[in-house]
Amino acid sequence: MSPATTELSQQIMDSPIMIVDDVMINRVFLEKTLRACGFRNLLCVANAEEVFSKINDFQPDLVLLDILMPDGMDGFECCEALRSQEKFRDLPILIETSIVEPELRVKAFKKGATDFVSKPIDADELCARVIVHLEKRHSLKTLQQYKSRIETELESARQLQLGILPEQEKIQDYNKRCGLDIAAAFESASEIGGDFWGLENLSPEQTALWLVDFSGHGMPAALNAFRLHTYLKEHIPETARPGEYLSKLNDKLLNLLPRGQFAMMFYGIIDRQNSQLHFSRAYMPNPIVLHRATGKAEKISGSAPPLGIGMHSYSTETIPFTTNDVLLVYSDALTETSNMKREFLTEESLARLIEENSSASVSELKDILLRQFKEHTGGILRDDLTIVVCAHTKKPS
Amino acid sequence: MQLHLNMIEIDIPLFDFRRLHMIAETEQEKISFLEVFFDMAETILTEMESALRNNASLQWTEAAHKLRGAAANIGMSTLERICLESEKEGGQKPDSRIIYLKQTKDELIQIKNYIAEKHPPLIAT
Repeated sequence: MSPATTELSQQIMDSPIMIVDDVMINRVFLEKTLRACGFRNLLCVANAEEVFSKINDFQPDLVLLDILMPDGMDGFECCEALRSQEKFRDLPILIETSIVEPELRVKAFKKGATDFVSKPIDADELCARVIVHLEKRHSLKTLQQYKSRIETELESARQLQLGILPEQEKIQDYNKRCGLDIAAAFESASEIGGDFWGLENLSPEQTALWLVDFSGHGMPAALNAFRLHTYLKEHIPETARPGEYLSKLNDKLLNLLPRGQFAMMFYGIIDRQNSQLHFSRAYMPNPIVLHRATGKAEKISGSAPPLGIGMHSYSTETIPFTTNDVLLVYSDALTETSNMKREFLTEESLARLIEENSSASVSELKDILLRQFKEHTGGILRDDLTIVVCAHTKKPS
Repeated sequence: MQLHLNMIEIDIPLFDFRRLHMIAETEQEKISFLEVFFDMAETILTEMESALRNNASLQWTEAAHKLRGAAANIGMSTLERICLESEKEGGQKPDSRIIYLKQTKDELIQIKNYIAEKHPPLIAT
């Protein structure tokens, strides 16, 4: 027997078992039988009233319950009352009975019975059934503890991930001091995800803005996101050449990422002095720029491979980005999540939506896009979603 | 009245000592255990008599059921069978109860005698 098996066997034999029978002879018989099998932690009670007065202290892992008990609740009622409490929802309740009528046995199951042991009790069968149900009980407990631990750890990881996104204070500071009005939304498909975005002032006139979307979602994508975030914080470029920067990142990720994992990225530098946006992207969906002066939204087309799958030299593109222009960058979940009819939100439809709401604030635009996405998908998120809306509000003085 | 008690188990002992040995280790424990059982059986017989007098079907059925469960567990197969039929038939046919009551009493006496014959120290005189 392996140590794990031995440990489980010990746990099972130490499991608290409550025996409920109004006939003393039967209680003694059951107790003696179970003791002979090796069970050590047994408590006998005579009626349902005693069950409820002692169960919270005793905390049984299994209850052996008689059906016909003349005083107070019978076994059916006792079983139902136990099941009505959340904490006893998974407690194995074995009905010991001499009832043979199928309808009464069905009734017992409907009231929450787990299994039956028939009277006269066969010692071997009783022990075998008790062991089976206790093993299941312990497996379930182990799974529940594991689930609880994972949930706690994932929540910690989620808080860490939210921590790598720009804080609201930082965004407001950019709004006040740097002539940029920014609003963003981030929602992950799992507890944690592989999207993140960020911004950093390179000079009084230039601000870098990036959005990264790692392949997949969940833990692997999140771990990659943490790695790249750390690298980005340490290697912010000083010149306005996003293409060069993405090429360097690509070299780095080629060595870091396992085969099959990659990152999509938009990296832009908003030059407020010259009213330009310099940017490069690695397989990121096409950004959209709204020119508020004309009310027109423009899709910025282009394509380059994702980071981390092969050698590539990324180019820098430059477009006008004047005061009151609005830039929308987003992860592919926005346009690649289908609705029930297998239809997608297209870049054209997003551009139209932005045009229809051209006078809305960046925060309102972000909410409009998010609402449109949720209406389209019914709120089902299959991939991590990030939306960043950034308006150029004024030139540096 | 013809009762349906099946008596084919003539080779089944009135009392299966193995079950008593399983639940009681010492001689004294066995004696105590049997005393408790026969005391309980007396109480149940009183309940059955009361149910008979008052024509109380539920009381009759519950009493017969209780004795059946205990008899089964302690290894008294024939008594268990009488109680089963008493519980079922007697619950539905009040006229049959007096016969089942007598059979139950007789069976208990026979069991006592059987134990006294096979293992005298277990039955206190």
